[in-house]
Amino acid sequence: MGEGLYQAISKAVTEGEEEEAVKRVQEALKSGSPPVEIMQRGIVAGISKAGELWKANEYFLPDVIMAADAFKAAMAVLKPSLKEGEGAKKGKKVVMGVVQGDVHDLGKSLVIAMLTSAGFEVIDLGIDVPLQKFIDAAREQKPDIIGLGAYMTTTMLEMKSIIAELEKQGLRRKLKVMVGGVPTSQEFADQVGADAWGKDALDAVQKALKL
Amino acid sequence: MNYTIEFEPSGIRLVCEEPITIFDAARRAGVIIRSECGGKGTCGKCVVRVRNDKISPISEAEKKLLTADQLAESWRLACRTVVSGDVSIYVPVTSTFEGPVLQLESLAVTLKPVTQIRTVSLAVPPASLTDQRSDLQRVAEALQQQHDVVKAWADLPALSAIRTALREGDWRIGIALRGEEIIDAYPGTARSPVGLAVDVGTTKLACYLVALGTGKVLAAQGAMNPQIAYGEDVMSRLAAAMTDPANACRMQETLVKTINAVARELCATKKLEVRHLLDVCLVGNTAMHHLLLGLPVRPLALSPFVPATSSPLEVDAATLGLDTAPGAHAYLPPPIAGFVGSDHVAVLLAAGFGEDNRTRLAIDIGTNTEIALQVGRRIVSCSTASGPAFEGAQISHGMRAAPGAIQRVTIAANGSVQCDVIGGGPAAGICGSGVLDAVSEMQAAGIINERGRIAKGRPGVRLEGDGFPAFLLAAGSEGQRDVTITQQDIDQVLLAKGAIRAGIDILMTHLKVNAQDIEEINIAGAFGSYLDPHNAVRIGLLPRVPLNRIRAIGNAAGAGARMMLASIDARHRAASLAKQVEYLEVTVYAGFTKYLAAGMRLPTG
Repeated sequence: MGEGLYQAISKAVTEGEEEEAVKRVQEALKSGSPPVEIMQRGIVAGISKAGELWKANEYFLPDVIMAADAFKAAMAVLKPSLKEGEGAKKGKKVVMGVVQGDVHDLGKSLVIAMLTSAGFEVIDLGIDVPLQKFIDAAREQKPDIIGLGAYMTTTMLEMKSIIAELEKQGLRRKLKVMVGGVPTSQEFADQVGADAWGKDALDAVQKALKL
Repeated sequence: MNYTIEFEPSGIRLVCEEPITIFDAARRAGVIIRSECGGKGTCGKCVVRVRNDKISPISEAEKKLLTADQLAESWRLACRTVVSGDVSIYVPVTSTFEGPVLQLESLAVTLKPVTQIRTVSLAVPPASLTDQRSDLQRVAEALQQQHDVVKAWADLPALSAIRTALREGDWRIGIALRGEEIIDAYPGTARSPVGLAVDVGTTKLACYLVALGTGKVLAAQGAMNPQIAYGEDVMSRLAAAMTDPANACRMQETLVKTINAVARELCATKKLEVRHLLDVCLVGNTAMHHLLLGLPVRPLALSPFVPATSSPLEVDAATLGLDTAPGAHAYLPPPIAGFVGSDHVAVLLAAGFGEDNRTRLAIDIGTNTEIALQVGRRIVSCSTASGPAFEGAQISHGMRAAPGAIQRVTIAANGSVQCDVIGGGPAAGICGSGVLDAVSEMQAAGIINERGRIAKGRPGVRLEGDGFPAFLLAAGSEGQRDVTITQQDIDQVLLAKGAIRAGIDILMTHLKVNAQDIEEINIAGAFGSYLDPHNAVRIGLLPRVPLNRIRAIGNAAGAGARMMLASIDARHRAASLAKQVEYLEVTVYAGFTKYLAAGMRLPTG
């Protein structure tokens, strides 16, 4: 019975059926399934499948968006039942945020979905995140990686300031910085002193695994 | 040691001291070479021919982006090639923006061409020892006696003009008035008043010489916006201004320089001079508006993206650097929001929004697409970042609508592809309307599915070097490459379409409107005039409405600018339209990503 429910959750996430995914997760919680299992065998399995289909060029962006939305909603329902750090297989922590002045949410959602499916623990600072909040998170959460997103040519300039501030506060050596977003590039990442550049959500995961 | 770079076929030369990339040299010399990546060596569009041994060796990027044939024939990428000695560089038409099809005609527009500007002839009593009234006083009194102008006055520039004109004209002069203010004086008799209307597009400027008093267009000409050298799109230009405030000044100056140059040419066609321009009206998106006025742009570049003003501005034309009559003003209608400018207001004015209660949609498709939905007395507008796919950019063989561009594609039942090329010659690339047709026809022929995935193994489909499939549109002839459409190109089109359709759908949901309720869809811009409405509906760019409800309205922004130039009434209407329009920020609308995802799919059935 557990297995069938995990499969139903996984399928709902892969197919971007947000309401269905949420319903099944609630069912699974009620029936006493361990939250970590629900996450790994249901939700993460579902988003991983979506990632594979995307890589195989069978899924296109809208399909991935819907899957990421379903993933986000399902995780939101599960989160209160998860203990801190539980479910992250790799034990590596990533703090993600979109820089100040920028309100584009989509890319970040996709990256978080893919990172979680690869076993990272992800803390989402949200969008339009002030520089100080990144610094505080670096100090308090002690992440292995900080991921910065910007989706406009004007806001990506902020990334340089954030990295400089991390340096100034003596935090830079303790973590790796990855940047991403439509206007960014490898050249830009090198210019601002980032450790890696994610071309898209799939690439971001590959790079994060290597950091 | 100095050396000379010569650009062909323009013949423009640049003397340099240090080694320089051809790309930077072109920018310095004022030669436009297209680029979508800003010279980073990733887009492959800045192709030029250089035959010289004093140039840098072929770079990795060039090996990737140019074919072996091209490299063998001395074609290089301007941004990756450094020159250091006398050299001649040939820029082919496909690497410039020359000769794009600019949209200047528009709706026939009805308006009462009444403005505050008029011209009168004046015979002024000469100054003498018995009549030592000042020039201004005698002219003002003559104006009162002969033309009922009460208390005429003049500011400094016009005062100089009066002084010179009186003596050169032997006390017979023509006077231009704005209300009671004298804005120009010249020897002889009054000339018909003329003015300049400009639609400052991000990519293309459209300028009109207009007869004030009748509103008639005397001459029209387009030009590329020279700010392209600082960035192809609005955000890049704002970023340039943020990185170095001097860039904002440079962008303002180069823009005005081009406007003045076009104005000069327009005037010359009617045997006039720019000195005769008595009034100017300029419209553009909010970034263009702010850069032109020298307003700080940083707040436009960062959330929450608010403009400095939402009211009209009237300034001395000279303050902006425009060459006009001494006392002429420049009128800048109000923007609505950070990404919806006075050009959108101009479109709505020209399309007659706010004049009736019909349920109507207006769309201005560009790198940013502005959409307005009118339902009853409400008009709600939004802006979507559609990207330049419909302008032919970021498409492998994409180009602007210029000779050589495929503008129409049909796929027959037997699978054969028929391409219609602008100018009739061999296909050098494909423009926005061609790209739209291609996607629509490919879906109908089953070459792509509703996810836009190309089916491998179909006739005409082949695998590119990177393993992704592409579909052949036109086989290359006369040394040109084959023109294909790749999987990535289709993705770009679907992304663009998805953004625009999401904006439309959100407005429709917000105002509780169904497709069948829409009585008219107006599409502004050059792309709108060329797109095939049937294909636009079929790929889901536009909601499913009867095709006879879809109307291209040409350069409605230009038409609106002309209306506001020639009619005070139109200015008032535009100002109240701007206040009436409600701006909706779609990216924070509930469920935005779902609308986007739905918009990106191709409709089935």
